[in-house]
Amino acid sequence: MTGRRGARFSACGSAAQDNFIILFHKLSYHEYLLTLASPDPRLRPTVTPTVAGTFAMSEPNDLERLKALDARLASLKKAQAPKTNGVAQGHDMANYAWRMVTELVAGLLIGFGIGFGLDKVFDTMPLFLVLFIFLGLVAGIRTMMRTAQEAQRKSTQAGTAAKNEGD
Amino acid sequence: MAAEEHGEGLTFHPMDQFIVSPLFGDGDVGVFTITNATLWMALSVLAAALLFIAGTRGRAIVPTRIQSVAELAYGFIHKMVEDVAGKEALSFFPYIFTVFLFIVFSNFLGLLPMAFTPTSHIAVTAILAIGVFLTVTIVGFVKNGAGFLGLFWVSSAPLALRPVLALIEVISYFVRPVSHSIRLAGNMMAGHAVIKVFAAFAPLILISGIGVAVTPLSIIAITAMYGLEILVAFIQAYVFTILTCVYLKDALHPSH
Repeated sequence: MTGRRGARFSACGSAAQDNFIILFHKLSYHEYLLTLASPDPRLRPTVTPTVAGTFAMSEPNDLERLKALDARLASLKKAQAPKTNGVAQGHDMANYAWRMVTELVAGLLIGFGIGFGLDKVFDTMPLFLVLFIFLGLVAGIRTMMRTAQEAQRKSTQAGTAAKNEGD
Repeated sequence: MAAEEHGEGLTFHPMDQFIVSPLFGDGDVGVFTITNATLWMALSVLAAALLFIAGTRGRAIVPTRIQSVAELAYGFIHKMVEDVAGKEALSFFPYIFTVFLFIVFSNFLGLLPMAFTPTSHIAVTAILAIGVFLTVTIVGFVKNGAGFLGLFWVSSAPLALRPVLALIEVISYFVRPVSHSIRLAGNMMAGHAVIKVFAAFAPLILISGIGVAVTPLSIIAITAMYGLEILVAFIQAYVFTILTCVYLKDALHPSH
């Protein structure tokens, strides 16, 4: 590994300096390699960074080159960002729908269970059953609406994120 | 269960695959009887253990294929816990990760032909959901004390309405483990049953002429359903885990 990287930036001579440069480049090295291999010719670097260029940043030429590199990295990152595909998103929404349905039914079931139990205990057959089925329904709707809120928040978040990325 | 005899000799036993039967001998199923459910649960535990113990044995810096699968799963759930429930919830990461692995392996092993799917039984998923429910509730009380009960006391409502709302809030708090378990078991059971129903139509070609059209259709349908089931097997495990994180977040920060 080190040997290969060292070979690329070995213009300075000493091994210690080489190592420092390798460390310096470590983070962007991978992305740099990606730009080299990119199928899009616009993303490929026009000038190969040299050791001198890394340190002598006062030259306006280098600043420009850094800016160009930043722009290239940004476009690369955008290209590599995980895309939200339609099928997965549809399945996500179906998941939310399914979740809401089970919540509604579960609320009703729990209401029914509590009401039935209380009626058995107090021997007041339809009273608590009716009361708690309604309460269970309300509770189910409440949980459902909360889930819907969550889904809405998530979709608006995703929407704004996509919009920001598009800018 | 529903053993319906078709007029032309097709037999439909879509629910037979969910029968719990003793593994050794054939007596009744008691509390400690070793059944096919026990076997497949043990197999999924074994598979998870193998993936992580044998798969990461090399501890290579450049991971082997199995090790990278293990690392991917670990990183995936770790990030999910951190993103959804926050940094404090990371102390529950081992528990959440265990639950996820158990469900994901049960679901996928259940997709093997002739296999039994433990997660298609509400008894299994209910235990998992009750475990999560108890953990979350206990954590909520330990971290927030009696203030956790404020979750049920809607202070923004008029005083007269509050007891009714509190009752509703309590019920909706108990909705979570129920829907949590029904969802997983329902999804797994429904998919497997549908595959079996389609499979029952497949031998129609041996019985009548209409089978020329029905048999290929049913085989295509089985394939499609199987593909969907692979998706569902993962997504349901994912949903169960992410909801666990959401509930945990509510327990750690009970402010709605």
